[in-house]
Amino acid sequence: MTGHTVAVTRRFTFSAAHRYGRPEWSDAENRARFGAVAAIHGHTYTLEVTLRGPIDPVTGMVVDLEELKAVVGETVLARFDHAFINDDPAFPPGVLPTTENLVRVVWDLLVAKLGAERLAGLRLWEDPTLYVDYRGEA
Amino acid sequence: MAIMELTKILRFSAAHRLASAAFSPAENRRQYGACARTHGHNYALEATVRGVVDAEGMVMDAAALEQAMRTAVVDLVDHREVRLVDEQEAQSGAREDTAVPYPFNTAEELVRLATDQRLCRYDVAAVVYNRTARLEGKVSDEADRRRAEKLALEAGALRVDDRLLLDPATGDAGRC
Repeated sequence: MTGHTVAVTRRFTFSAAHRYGRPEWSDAENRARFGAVAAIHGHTYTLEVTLRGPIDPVTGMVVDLEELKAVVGETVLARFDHAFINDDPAFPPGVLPTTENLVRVVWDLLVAKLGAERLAGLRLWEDPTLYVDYRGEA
Repeated sequence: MAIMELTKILRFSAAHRLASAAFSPAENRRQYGACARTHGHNYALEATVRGVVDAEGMVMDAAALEQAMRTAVVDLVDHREVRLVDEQEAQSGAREDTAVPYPFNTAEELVRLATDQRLCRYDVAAVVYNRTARLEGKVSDEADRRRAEKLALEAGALRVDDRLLLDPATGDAGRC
């Protein structure tokens, strides 16, 4: 069973709050630009982490899922589950907590632990109707 | 440069039947089976935009993407019968329960309705009756005119009714 490159995806969920707004604008201006998402609100996010690699001939695995659970738990879930994203150091005033910006932060956290050769892609769902796909810098 | 894809999913429900005007009722039943009877589906439309994340942290404003999907597709077909109508019937407004003015019928053809939005790059609006696409708007040169016609044909139109105006001041950016 060697020589096969396989992609493995595991799904995680976390719940977090955020709001869109530019610090230099008034509340009315932010409501005019961003609408309902200018108010503090929350989502149950779903994060799909895809790792790619050869099947280990001894374990039969591409990745030890216990290792993946530990890495995502310590780096992503511990930081963003039941958190207010706007308070996170990665989102200073002026950096909007969009799904696009959040997936870049999550990518940087995971690629440092898992390695760019293994981390193949992330899909971050803000809700069941909206997601972003990111596969690292081109 | 961070390039990523943003996908929005909207659901809608519509009725249709698969039947060709070239066939008799018996032939349509034989060709299309149960699909020849008027029936309905719950559809999911997934639209993906791809690009560089801008200074605001967005590939595209998700609210604007949703609005475009509603205007271009969902509002036209949700809780309606999707079927062929001619221009006269479409403009009479007599059948509010019927999706007009789009003449396509199968799932693949419904998807083409969304891809027609590529035309907005040339500041061109397309209205389709009986597979004739009427293009209205401004393009900057003959090359853009040919590109707009080609896109309409790729989107499923059999003929193009060209009512485009040439305006060198019109940029390639158009409305999108």
